[in-house]
Amino acid sequence: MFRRLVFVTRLVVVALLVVVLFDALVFRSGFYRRWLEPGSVAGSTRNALRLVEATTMPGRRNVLVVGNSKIGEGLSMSLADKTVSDGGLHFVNGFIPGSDLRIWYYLLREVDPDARRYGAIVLATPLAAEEELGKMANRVADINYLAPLLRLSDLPSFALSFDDPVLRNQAARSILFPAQPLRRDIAAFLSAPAQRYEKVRDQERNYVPNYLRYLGRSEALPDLPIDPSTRLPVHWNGVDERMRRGLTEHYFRWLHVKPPEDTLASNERYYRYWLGRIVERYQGTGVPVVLIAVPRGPWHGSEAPVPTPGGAIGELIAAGKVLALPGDTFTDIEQPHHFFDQEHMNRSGRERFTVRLAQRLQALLP
Amino acid sequence: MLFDTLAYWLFFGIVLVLCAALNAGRTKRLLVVASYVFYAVWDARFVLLLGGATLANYLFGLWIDARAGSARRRAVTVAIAANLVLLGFFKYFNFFIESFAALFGLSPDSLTLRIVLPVGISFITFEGIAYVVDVYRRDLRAVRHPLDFALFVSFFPHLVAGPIIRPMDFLPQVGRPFSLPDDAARWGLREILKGLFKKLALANYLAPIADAYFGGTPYDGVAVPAWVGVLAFSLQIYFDFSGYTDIARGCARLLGFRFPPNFERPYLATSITEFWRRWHISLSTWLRDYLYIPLGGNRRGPGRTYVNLLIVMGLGGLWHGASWNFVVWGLYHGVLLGMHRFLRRRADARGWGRIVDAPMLVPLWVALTFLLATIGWVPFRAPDFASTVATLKALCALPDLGFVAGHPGVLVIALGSLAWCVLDRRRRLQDWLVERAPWQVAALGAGFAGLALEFCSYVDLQIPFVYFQF
Repeated sequence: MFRRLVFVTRLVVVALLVVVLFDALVFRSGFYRRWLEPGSVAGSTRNALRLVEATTMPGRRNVLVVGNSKIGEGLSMSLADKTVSDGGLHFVNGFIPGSDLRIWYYLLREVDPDARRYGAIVLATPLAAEEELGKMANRVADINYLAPLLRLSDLPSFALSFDDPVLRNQAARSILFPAQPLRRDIAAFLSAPAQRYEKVRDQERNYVPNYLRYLGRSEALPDLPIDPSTRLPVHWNGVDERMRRGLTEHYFRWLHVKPPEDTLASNERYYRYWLGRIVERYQGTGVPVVLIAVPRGPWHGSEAPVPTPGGAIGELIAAGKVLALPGDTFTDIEQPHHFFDQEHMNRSGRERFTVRLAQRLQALLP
Repeated sequence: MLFDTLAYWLFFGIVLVLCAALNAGRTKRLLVVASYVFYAVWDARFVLLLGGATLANYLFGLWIDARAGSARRRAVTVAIAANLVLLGFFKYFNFFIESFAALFGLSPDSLTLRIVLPVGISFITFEGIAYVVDVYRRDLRAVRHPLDFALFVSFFPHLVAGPIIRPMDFLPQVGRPFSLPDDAARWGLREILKGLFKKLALANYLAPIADAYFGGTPYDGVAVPAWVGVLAFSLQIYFDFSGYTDIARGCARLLGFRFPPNFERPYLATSITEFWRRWHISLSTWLRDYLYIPLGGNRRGPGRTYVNLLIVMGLGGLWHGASWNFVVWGLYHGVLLGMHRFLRRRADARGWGRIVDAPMLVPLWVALTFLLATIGWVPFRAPDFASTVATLKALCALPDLGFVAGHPGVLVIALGSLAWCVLDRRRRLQDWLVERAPWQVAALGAGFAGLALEFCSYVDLQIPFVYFQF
């Protein structure tokens, strides 16, 4: 009775095979990953892979520090190495601007397939879910960040890690049809292939050396006095309009805000799941996973309590599954003169943070 | 359950497999049940409305068929009135109350009701009216088997946004054993892929640009110029609605039913009259057969013909939605149709017909018709009269090309579509793929269409089909 559907089934199956084969050759093989726009979100994942691959040194005890742009600006690999030159540690910076635990899991899987390549994995994550105001699980940008790293087998776990059903669908589609999240990238590539070729070649030649030469930004925020009643600066002397707007909108406005209950619960689940998966990868390998609370912002030191591990993170620490530097390790750096904007450390902050991180890790790691 | 969701295609796949597994009688039952499930997914409450409208029109058909003379006329009048009351209550009650209140300076809040518009109500009632009138005219015997009639009204590929199916086209196809010949399978798949590409890649790309212009918000951080916004909507509504129709026709064909065409490259029409023979054909022929001709059509002299055109197009505009903007759009087309009729008659009377029809002038007439149709979309899309006037004024200013330099997609789509129509003007490539190409080539073509969809579709935006709101 199904003979009537044989022909249409054959057409559909062959058509699907064409799609699957093309996707396998171009996207799943990693071929297109090489040609991603370096300045794009997916391109920043590719940049991280470049940096990690180029700076991981076989035969040394590599310590991979994974984080977002705070680590990109805050950690100097060469200074860290110099600080612990007698301990044999070699620091590798695995930062992706705007990234989070979910992205880090897949990054680690890519750069450390057997979970034994590094002497330690350091995660620069907030120590408690309440430090995140938005729902981490529903960060739609993660789909684009991870476009170069996801596999078909990731479909259920990755899609279901989003709370929102619409995003779950979107995430599933991005794995089934890997060109979907790279639509804009592909269109830009096809419209100017020569330009893309040059950009990628340039990135391949210069990205790592440029980053290794980078010393950090020299600008610093002025030390604005804070009015205890309004919790805003008493005056804005020495701050231009753009910076003032940035600080007001993206920093002071949120400094004392706590996330709503459902966001907190969602982020707890998020931390438990993704940190749990990372810890699970390294369980039994002898590779310690260390959590560090990077300096949070220029006035956090004086205006916010010391970060303390809580919820899922607290449980993992208490169970001995992860190590953590004390919450106050870097709080003295949380001052305006160590930052160049509301989030990122400047050169002096970078140096102070790097040296202390290297020293503390040397002391912590067996 | 939108046509551009995975849920719909899973549903469709299951229905198709079950159809192949069942005999003719059970297939009919299955399709009715599936159609009601499909409708219930939108809003389960309206299943009763669909069932009620189906039962009422079924009984009206039997009643009319059993009567003769003035009793027959009374019966059809009651049947038409009942359908119009249903449509009027759900779609136009608040609109007329608000208009009445505005006219007499009353507050509409105390008079209006909280009415939710059932999906597809306009299509359901127009098909109901077509059925009872056809029975009245003795073009059709009343359907005896309620299941046949239920399938005609509810068949899910056309249920929520048409095309408006005529009972005489559909009912003879009901009850045939399911079969899916190779050419039907190829044709159905082609239409589905074509429709998905039109909707997901083209209409969904254009929609945010048109929305940004008419919503007064920037697109990609840049203000959208009026001519880009209007052009984007003009293309969006075509690709959106014709894409929907292609998918509906493709699905119907795979299930063993043929739907008549609803679009025939309308933006290549050489006159506004021809435009309406190519645009939303199922609506324009419905209006012609059940409104224009009963009003006297063009049989009562030129003056009455122009009035009839205005009435038909004004009501056709109002059919799209409860807003005076739609009426203005309809009347605008009524005026254009009248003007074209008048000028054409004058040209023919003076012997200029051959000059007007000269092939070298065709591009000029096509461009002019497209321009007029596109201007017509302004009241159709604008949220109110003030925006309509502001947009029309903005269209008179010199075009700003800066936006297009940064976002060439609108022009690429417009010119690309035109180039495609010129290259494949007789649809030879499409027909060859369906009728003569080896199946492997057809499958390869479908594969490439699939890749094009993967590369170009904007699925994430979740933009509903424009005609779902009508």
